[in-house]
Amino acid sequence: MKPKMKRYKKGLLISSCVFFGLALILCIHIYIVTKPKVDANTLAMARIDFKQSIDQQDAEKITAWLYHQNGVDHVFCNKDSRIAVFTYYPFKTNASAITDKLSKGLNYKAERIIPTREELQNGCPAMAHSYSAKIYSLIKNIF
Amino acid sequence: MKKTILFAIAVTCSVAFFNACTKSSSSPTASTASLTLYDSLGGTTMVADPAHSGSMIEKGRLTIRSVVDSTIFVIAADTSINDAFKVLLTEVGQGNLSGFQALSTNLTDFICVGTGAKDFTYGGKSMTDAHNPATNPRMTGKADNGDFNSFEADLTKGAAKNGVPSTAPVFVSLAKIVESLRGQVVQM
Repeated sequence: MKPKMKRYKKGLLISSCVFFGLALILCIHIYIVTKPKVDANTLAMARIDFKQSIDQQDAEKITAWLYHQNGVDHVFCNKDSRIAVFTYYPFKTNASAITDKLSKGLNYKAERIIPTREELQNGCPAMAHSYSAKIYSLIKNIF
Repeated sequence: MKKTILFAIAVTCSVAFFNACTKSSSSPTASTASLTLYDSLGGTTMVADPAHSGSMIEKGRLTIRSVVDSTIFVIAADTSINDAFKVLLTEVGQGNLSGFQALSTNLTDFICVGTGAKDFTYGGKSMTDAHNPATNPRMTGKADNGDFNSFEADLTKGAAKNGVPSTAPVFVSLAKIVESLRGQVVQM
């Protein structure tokens, strides 16, 4: 009776170790695949507000200048709202550095707009996902 | 018992045969008679994806994504509605997608499905739920007709930037679909 009990306990211990080991590996895997990361294909958008009036000629000059920066993908400058938006590859360049360079190089009073955490929680209804879609997305990320 | 099994097999085979006949006889008629808006935008014809070298993309989706991306640029620089789209400026959000990429993908999926694409699904909330502060905490207030008009105006500008004038039949059809959502978006 005693050796049988001993064997049962040993089996239970091994099974538990294997189970927790696999669970740990799964947790690490989920962390790695869902952790936000920037890679060569990540495309981000940045916004620069001009603290001075700009005309069509300025808008064209700013657009052309931004297009010449390494890592910048697409540019749009609205003279009426005094805003320039551009997409860029964070893997290659830094939007804040581009904004500083633009201010100094072209001599414009320009400021990069970075939203606060609270602002990011609000607005843009298209970003709201149903629970089923969130689960689907998580599973898709894991496997 | 044997008779029951044989009967079940016979019924299954009959149903399968009937379905096969139905599909084969109805498919050609459906494909020629009911062309969707997605088909007229290029449909499922595979073309090279200019944004991802070496990848292919359905032509219909590429057309829609181009207009969506241009519209996003116009929105991001439009002070009348860009406060609601600050999420565009996040560098990395879910997975390795930035706010721009996530919004582009979501809106493109939504319009693809709305225009009749069969190979994509929209995983977001319904238009009514997405714009109702009670069911979507991201909405701090209800959208009004002015917001919706601004969105439509930016969509028109976005299409124009892609060489699609507001008078083009394809754009008129797309605008009708968007306008049909006004009642779900504007809940005041």
